[in-house]
Amino acid sequence: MILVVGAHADPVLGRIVSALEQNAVPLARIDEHNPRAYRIEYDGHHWRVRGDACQGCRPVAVILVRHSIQAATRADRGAWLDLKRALDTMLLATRSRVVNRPAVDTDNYSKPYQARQLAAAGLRVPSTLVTNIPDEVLRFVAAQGGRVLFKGVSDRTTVPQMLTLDHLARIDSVAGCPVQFQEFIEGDDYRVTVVDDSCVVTRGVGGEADCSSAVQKALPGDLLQRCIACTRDAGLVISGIDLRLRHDGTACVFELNPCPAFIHHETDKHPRITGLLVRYLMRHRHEGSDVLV
Amino acid sequence: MRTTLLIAEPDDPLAQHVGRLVPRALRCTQRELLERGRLSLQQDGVQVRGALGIGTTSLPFESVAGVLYRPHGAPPRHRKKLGAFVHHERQAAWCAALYALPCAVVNRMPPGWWLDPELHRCWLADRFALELALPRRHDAPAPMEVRSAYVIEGDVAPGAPAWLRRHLAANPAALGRWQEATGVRIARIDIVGRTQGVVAVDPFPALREAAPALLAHIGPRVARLLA
Repeated sequence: MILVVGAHADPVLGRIVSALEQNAVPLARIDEHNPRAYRIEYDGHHWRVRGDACQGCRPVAVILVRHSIQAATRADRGAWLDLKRALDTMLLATRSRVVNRPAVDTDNYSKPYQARQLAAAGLRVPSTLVTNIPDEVLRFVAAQGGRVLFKGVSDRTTVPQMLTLDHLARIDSVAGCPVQFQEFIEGDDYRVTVVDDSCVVTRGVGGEADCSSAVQKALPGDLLQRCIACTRDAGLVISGIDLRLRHDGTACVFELNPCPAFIHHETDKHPRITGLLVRYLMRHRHEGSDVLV
Repeated sequence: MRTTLLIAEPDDPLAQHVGRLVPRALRCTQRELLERGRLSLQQDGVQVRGALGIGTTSLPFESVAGVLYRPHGAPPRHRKKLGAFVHHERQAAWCAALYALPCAVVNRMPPGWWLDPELHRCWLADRFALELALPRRHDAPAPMEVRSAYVIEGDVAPGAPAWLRRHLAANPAALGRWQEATGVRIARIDIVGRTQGVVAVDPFPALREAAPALLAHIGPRVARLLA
């Protein structure tokens, strides 16, 4: 039995569930858009999930999690947080395989922290300054020859922008909130989506992903092996690693996303990442478990 | 002379104790750090350099002897999205800066703690039980059943249950492995004596009602780590 946790409306989960159903795999779901429907109990030996179609009696070997944070109202959000808390406690403690386990998927909350982990795994990272001191920004910009990007420090979505003279005229405003400044790297954007010991390479072109098979060979093998190794070392099964390949062939890694929306990096006709993930889930679906649904 | 940074509430007994023992201390609360502290962290995967600023004092990384990090203030409540965003960004920045410091940081907490302290405590307890081959309790046992033990830098402070002291003595590397994996140098472990089940781990035990002997044991050891 495989348990899928997230929102029914999530297109990534939808694609995985369709593929699992095509393979006639026994499946249970927890829909986080209906958080009041579920309750989770622990009896000292087993975690039992009840509610909706879950009756707390069928063993689950593998759990796929993509938390949804969309809630219509404040009350819904409270119920969702309660369910998420109960789920995460179970997902941390269970012997069942979890893709990806909470608490090991939090490094990208702090981008500069994550950059240290990526560098320790042998990946090149860009020269970066995190500061709320205006003079430090000016010194960094001068050292980089004026070509600097800036973006948020945390996992909240921010759009990277080139630093301009207009921005520098307002640089005192960084004193109110730290900002991440990064050397500008010339090159082509790639996403390496890792699933267990395999990966799929796609290239970013004008906001679209080039998923052609030729792109698979664009990155050196040792770089892909490092991407696989750092995903495994972080305790993750799946990750999306964003990097830029310089024209001299070296790559600079920007971040590792532990919950990648990978359907933008595969085609409907050739859903390679979905295929890898479904095969991984199916391969482990007969393992031991202490979660019952 | 290098400075020991004490990030704690003014009435924190451990910070007060350590502040008296280290040669030079600079104090601030977590809230002051996040809202008024200055930071600069520059890194390229090989080298790390930076500086912290508290009040009128600026401390290059190499001039920080150690950091005692004891966040106990109530987290701020932000009604507006912008306020919540700024708080989130400040936490992410200070998390990276404190983690990157080359000196001892007690305790050096990863992003998981800054993001969700309650879940991180669960993870710490799960890891502690796993590493020390002890059962893990997920229910809430009666308070009178629970015993507390204070662990500090690979050792157990006086007052811990005798069976736990024996258990740790028989598994000398296990506590060190847990501390290495979690960044936690000092913590209170709550255990049910009868079943030896791990109930909770608190990496920031308040110590406000701790016996003076306990504080006298822990304080000098923390001061030695940070001086």
